[in-house]
Amino acid sequence: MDLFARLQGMKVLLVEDDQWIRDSLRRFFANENCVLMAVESGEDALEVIKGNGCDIIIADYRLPGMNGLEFLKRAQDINARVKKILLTAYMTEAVISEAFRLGVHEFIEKPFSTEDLEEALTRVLEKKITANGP
Amino acid sequence: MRKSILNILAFLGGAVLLSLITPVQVGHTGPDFSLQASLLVLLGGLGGVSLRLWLLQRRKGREREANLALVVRTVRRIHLLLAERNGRDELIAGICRILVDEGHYFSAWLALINREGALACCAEVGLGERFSRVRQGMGKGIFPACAKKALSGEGLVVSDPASRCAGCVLAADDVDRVCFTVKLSYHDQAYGLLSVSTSAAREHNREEQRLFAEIAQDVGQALYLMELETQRAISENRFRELVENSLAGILLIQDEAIIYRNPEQKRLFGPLPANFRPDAFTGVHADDLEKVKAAYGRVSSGAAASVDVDFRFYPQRQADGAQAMKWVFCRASRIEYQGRETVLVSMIDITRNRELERIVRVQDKMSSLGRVAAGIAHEIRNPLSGINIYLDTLAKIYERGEKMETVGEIINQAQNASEKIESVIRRVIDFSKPGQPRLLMAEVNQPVENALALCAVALRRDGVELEKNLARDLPRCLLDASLIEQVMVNLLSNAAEALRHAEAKRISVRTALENGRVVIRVGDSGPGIQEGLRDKVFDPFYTTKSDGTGIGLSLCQRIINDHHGALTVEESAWGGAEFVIALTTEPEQEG
Repeated sequence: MDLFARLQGMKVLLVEDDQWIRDSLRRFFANENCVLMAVESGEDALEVIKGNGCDIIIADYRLPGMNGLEFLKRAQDINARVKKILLTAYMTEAVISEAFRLGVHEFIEKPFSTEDLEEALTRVLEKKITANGP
Repeated sequence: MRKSILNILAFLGGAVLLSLITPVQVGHTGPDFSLQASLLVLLGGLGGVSLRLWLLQRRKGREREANLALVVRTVRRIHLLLAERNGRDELIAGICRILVDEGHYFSAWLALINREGALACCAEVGLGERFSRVRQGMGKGIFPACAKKALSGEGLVVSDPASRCAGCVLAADDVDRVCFTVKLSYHDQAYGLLSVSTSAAREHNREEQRLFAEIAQDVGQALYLMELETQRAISENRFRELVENSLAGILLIQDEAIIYRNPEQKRLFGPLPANFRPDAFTGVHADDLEKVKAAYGRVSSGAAASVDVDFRFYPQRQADGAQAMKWVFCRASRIEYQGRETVLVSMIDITRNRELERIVRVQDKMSSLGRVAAGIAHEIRNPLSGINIYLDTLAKIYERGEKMETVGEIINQAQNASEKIESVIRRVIDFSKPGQPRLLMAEVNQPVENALALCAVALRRDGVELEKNLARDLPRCLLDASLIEQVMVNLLSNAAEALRHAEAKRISVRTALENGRVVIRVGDSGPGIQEGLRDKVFDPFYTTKSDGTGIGLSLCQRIINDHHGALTVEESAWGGAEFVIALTTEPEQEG
């Protein structure tokens, strides 16, 4: 089944402080007839999760205020089954190990293309997600 | 004895003469005759004695006249000798020679002593071998009795060598002679001794002695002048040596012509044509010409006693055609030289320093850039990711042939992203562009904004809260925007560094007009800088960072100093450090 066909019924949340990425990805999802909720900070994203619920989170690592990992941890506390994808410009050992500990399912390194994103989303959807983490 | 005999003879002669020319009553005998004859003889005798005395007086007068003429001639000869300004040794030998050859002295010796009273040199005429022992003795500090007496007291010492100077080698065989010894001095400073021997007859001749003392006085004055001249020559020599060997290039300008150049100056400027006019400023770098002209004008017109200016210039072409630009730091002062208004210009070659400084500046820029590189990479990668996504979206639209109406908007957004990348790259290139500082009247807020833009992402990612408060309508300052930007990037990344372990991460950037100066303040909420270290942080190589070189702040201060401004550190409102850049709003006057 086509990725976007499966995504159509899902709530995908992008947490990214850069406007270029938010705008372009929103446009890309719209082109696929999907909805991408895009917010600027972890704080805003938590509000969305609490209010609307969420199936997949794509979060940047470096965010103003709380960083991406911290945000994902809190998101996990709210919804243990949410699927987590981390965007990052610098893949450091420390970040990767911390991300694994939190049960982040996929990494996408910046700069990225839609192909990278599609692949990550596909893998996330195929994975049998179990709640892991605290 | 001799005088008495001569007097008796004159008496008898007179008596006999008068008896002979008075032939009266010759042949008479008796008491009448004897009384008359006795009176005649007595009269004749007295006449004879008077005649002798008169003749004697006349001879003495002539002798005195001749003696005086001789002394005057001697004095005159000595004056001529003094006027010749010969060397010291020639002078003292000449004085002795004149006194003996032309005066009426049998011998003369002259010794000069130094300030410590030790023999400096001596000369003699008429003493020969005998003097060499005295010379040796004086060399060891043993002076003849008359010399000691003359040196310790005032005035002339008269001594009779034969009777009173027993044991003095100079006195041997000197019979019927007297010695005059006198100190040669001027203004209480003793320069030496002059001693002559003359006929014993002059022992009581006050006039003679007075004249001799005067000669000594003149010689003393001449020795004083000679010492002055020597000192002047020494000091001039020392000065000349200093100037000739100076590491600074020195030149003197009188009436718009160069009258002197020292070797270093010649090395710096190379050969100059004979008709070179310093006020034409040939070879001065075009960018520095106005500055140099203004500075020179201020000194030559007398508006300033001294000015400092640094400038670049192209030396006159060398024989091999090489013509490398030189950079000098130059001080021009008005002085009086040889009684005329002169401009003294001293300069040091700072070409190498400037070159090193330029390299350090470039390196500092690169390291500053390194510190904000993460932010810059982010700024490029994000719009680049955007472009990639837009392109992918476009590809899908093309493939499917659907939603064609969105294409225009997508292309437009992709173009905006591309422009964004271009602007980031341009900013980085502008920042790292090497170049000499060029001060222009400009707005201070512009470079501050640019620096903030360069650092913004890095600061935001570090979780730093930025408070920006830039005053509007600030007067323009003479500044090099790229250098101010460099300083700001340095200060901002230092502040961010200081906040690494701070709980509250805040940086404030403010610009304002304070006491007629445009002030930029960069404050942070970090741990601050201890009062005792506030000056030290500007020392080159002072650093608290394990990976830092420490050159950053010292270079910042150097750059601000080049702007005639000041970079200082205070305590921020949050108790952290606050760096303050104060810039003058008017071009600083040179000097």
